[in-house]
This record gives sequence, structure tokens and C-alpha cells, in this order.
Amino acid sequence: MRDLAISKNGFVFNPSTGESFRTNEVGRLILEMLQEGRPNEEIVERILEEYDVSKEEAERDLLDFLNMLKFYNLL
Amino acid sequence: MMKKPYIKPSISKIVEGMPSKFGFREMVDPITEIDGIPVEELIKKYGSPLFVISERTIREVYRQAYMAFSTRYPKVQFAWSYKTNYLDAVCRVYHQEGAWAEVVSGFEYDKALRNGVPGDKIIFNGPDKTREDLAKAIKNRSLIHIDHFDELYTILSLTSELEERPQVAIRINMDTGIYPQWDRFGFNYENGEAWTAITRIMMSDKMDLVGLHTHIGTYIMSPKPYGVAASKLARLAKQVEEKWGHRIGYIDIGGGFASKNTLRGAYLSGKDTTPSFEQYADAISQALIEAGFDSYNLPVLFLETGRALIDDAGYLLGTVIANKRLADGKRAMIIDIGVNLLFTAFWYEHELHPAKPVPQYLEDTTVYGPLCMNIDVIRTNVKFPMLEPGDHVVIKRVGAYNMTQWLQFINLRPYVVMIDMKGEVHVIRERETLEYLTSVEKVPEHLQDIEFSDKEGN
Ligand SMILES: Cc1ncc(COP(=O)(O)O)c(C=O)c1O
Repeated sequence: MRDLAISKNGFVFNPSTGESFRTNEVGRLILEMLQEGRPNEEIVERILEEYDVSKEEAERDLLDFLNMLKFYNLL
Repeated sequence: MMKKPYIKPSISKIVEGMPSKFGFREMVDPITEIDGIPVEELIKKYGSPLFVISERTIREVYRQAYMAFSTRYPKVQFAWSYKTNYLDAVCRVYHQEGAWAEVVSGFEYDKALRNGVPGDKIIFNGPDKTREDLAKAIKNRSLIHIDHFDELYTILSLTSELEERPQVAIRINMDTGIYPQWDRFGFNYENGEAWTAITRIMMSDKMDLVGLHTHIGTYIMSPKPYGVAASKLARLAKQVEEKWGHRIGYIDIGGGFASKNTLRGAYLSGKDTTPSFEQYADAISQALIEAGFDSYNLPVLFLETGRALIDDAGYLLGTVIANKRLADGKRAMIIDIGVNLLFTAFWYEHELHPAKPVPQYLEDTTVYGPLCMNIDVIRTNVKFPMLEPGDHVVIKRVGAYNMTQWLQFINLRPYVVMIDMKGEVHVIRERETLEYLTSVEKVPEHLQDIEFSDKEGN
């Protein structure tokens, strides 16, 4: 996780496997906060501050996103 | 501070050098309205799911097809294939456009009569015609397409009871170079069975052999086999003329033109691979013109096109029930449209669209119907944006076979509406109700009273 290279325009590179990924703005925010070791609650709070979204939806989407990261062996 | 608009977090792997299945363009356009009527409005008024038929599309496609053939061959007659979609309103649009009726059962036959089609403008196909069906068709001077020798003998035996001379054709199966060859219907061309049947009819002198018919298969993706079929039927017609001096009035080439739907597992989209009506018409008319008929006495070309005429006119609107992740991490979306309504999902990769503009982040998604059955899959894999429960979807090109082969299974069947040429919406089939369904059920006397005791487990 810590090794991931995340570019401003949404490209994610995993140096240990050589795989590249594309993510969007909210995805990038989450990845960066995960790299800083922030807990999920804090990530949700931050999303709620910046974006027009309900808490319920943000939480659900975060869990979904984390599942995708696991799926891609990024977590 | 104004908050930014939210877009769901997403991540996807970049696989280099691998174009998506249908080329590089990866967009799923929304369909927000049909013939100018907002999808949301239709669902609000008639509920979800909902079948919507565009009268405009029916007429436009019919006219394109008619134009393609009639500009290449002077005598063309379409007969609407009832089984493809026999809702009365739909059939009547085709009849207004000038199409006759093509039916394959006593039920469909009666439906055509009820729709005002004169008996002598009904083509009666299929292996299952009862003696009563045949007697009725003979009296009405309908065009009876004989499928097998047993039917031929039934008609022969009826001629001693009835005054009218049966107007018959035979259905012929043949090798047109396509696989699989449909040989279960009609009489075979190559082994001489068709000629034997013709001889039997001509020698009996009790019925009029007015036409020759074939239906080589369905969703035939090449015009070529039609050229072969038309040549073979024309050759038979010429032989009949030479041997008995009897002129065959029409050659019926059946249905089977591919619609623009994409077959399951096909690499390219049906929109790119399906031949145009002009291409089919070229192959058929060329074969007929080259057959050497007397140009003042050309046989009429009959067409029983089904799916290629109606598929585009039908839409199925539905609603997202839930999203989930499958065990392997893949996204799954459950919608309220199942294979009970969308029977053709077994053959086609139906085009699925959101009903409103959504962010274009697409993810491989499996789309499931609402039935508690493993086979209830609408799309096994489609790149699709994320929709929320309650959001609506539109499935395109569902006009053929769904509104006849649908199943009343687990759920009641929904409304079917038609948008007319002026943009007015008409209910053409009511939503089914519990009362409607149970009205044909009967409960025996001894099962009338049901009592439950209060104790658990009795
Ligand atoms: C005899 C006959 N004619 C016409 C059709 C319509 O075929 P399609 O929908 O493939 O055009 C069928 C369909 O099975 C058929 O059996």
C-alpha cells in the first residue's frame, strides 16, 4: 500500500507487481488517506466535508472501494 | 463553502493493448426518452417493469424493408409472423401497412381473423394444424402450407367433405450452405421428397398448388443462403410449369433475417454485422430474376420477416433493485427484469442503458433478474456505470418474441404500452392481476376450507 505511486491525474502504479490502475478523484483521496494510515471513519468524514453526498452512501461506497482494492491485491 | 459534486470512488486495472470487445469506445449512453416521452414519466405512470412499443419505429422499419424489396422485384407481399409479436395493436399496425398474416396455430389463425384479416390473406404454416383448423382454412381459402405427408392426406380426405378447393403450398427444407440445416419442417429438396409431395398434389387434382415455401432458419447473418433458397424454389416452380403447365403463384422465402441485436458470445456488435434489408433483397431478387420466369408472369415474392421488423420497436424499462459484489470481486446489479419477461436474454447480449446521464466510470458487471433462479441472468458481462437502487434502466430491441414467449413465473406480467405517431401513449395490454390469473383456476370442493390451528407444528 505504502509503495503505491499515485499520480495527480488518477494513475496508480504498483511497483511490486508492475500493474497500473486508473482511479478517479474520490478514489485518489481515499488511497492517499489510506497511505497515511487514516481510519475509515476519518476518510468518510473528509469525503462528507468536501463532497455533496450522504453519510450512508459514502460509507457504502468506501466499503465497496476497499473490496476492490482487496480484489486487486492492493490492500 | 459549496461542496463538490460527488462521484463514487472507483479503481480499475489498466490492461495494455487490449481493446474492449466492441472497439475502443467505452461509453454507455443514457436513454432518457422514447419517441419524445420521458422514460421517468412512463415508469411513474405505468410502473416498472414496462414494455414500450414505438409505432413510429414499426412503420419506419416496415417501410424500409418494403422499399428494399419492392424496388428490386416487382411483386412483393409481406405477411406478419404472428408468433414474433401477436399483440393485436402490433399486428394491426402491420396490417394497416399492407402486411398479410402468417400464423402457425389455430389460436393464431383465429387471432388474425379477429384482427380483420380476410381468410385468403392468411398464410397457415406449422406442423400442428388440427383437422378442424384445416377445414376452417380450406373454407376461408387461406393459404395452407403443408408441412408433412400426414397433413397432405388429411387435406385430401377433407376434399370429399368440402366444396372449396384447398389453396395449398408446400414447405420445403433444403441445404443452403448454412449450419444447422433445419430439416424437421416440410419436405426435403435434395432427396426428392419435395418433388414427390408436389407430384402427389398435382396428380390428386383436388387442390390448387398456389405456392412454394421455405423458412431456412432464424437470425441468418448472411444474405447468400437466401439466394440459394430462392434459386431452388424457383427451379421447382419452373419444373412444375414444364411438367404440368401449371403456374406457381408465389414463392415464399419465410423469415429469418437477423435483427441488430448481438448474439451471445459474438465478438462484434450486431449493429455492425447484420446485413441490411437491401443486401437480403439483392440476393433474393437476383435469384428470382435469373430463374428465367416469363417477365409478365413473375411469381409474387412472399416474406414472413419477424424479428428484423419488430425488434427495434420494443423497449423494456426496469429498475435497479440492488448492487452487490460477487465472491470473486465482480460487480453485480440486480434489476426487476428477469428472463421471465426477457426470454431473448438467452440468445442475445441485449443493449442495456441507464435512463439518465450518469458518470462514465464503467465496470464489468453481471446483470441479474429478480427471480430466485440461477439462470436468471440478463447480461453475464457488460461494462456498465454504477447505478443506485431505484434508478431506471432501458433495454433496447426487445420487440421480437418476448411479448409472446414471456412466462408468467413468480411475477405478474406488466403493462405493454404503445407510443403512437403523435406521441400519445396507449395501454395495449393491461398489467396482469391476481384476479386475472386466478379467474381460470378452480379449487375442488374438498379444498375450499383451510383452517390453521393456533398451535405450532399442529
Ligand atoms: C414459418 C416461419 N416464418 C417466419 C418466421 C419468422 O422468423 P424471424 O423472426 O426469424 O424472421 C418463423 C419463425 O420461426 C417461422 O417459423
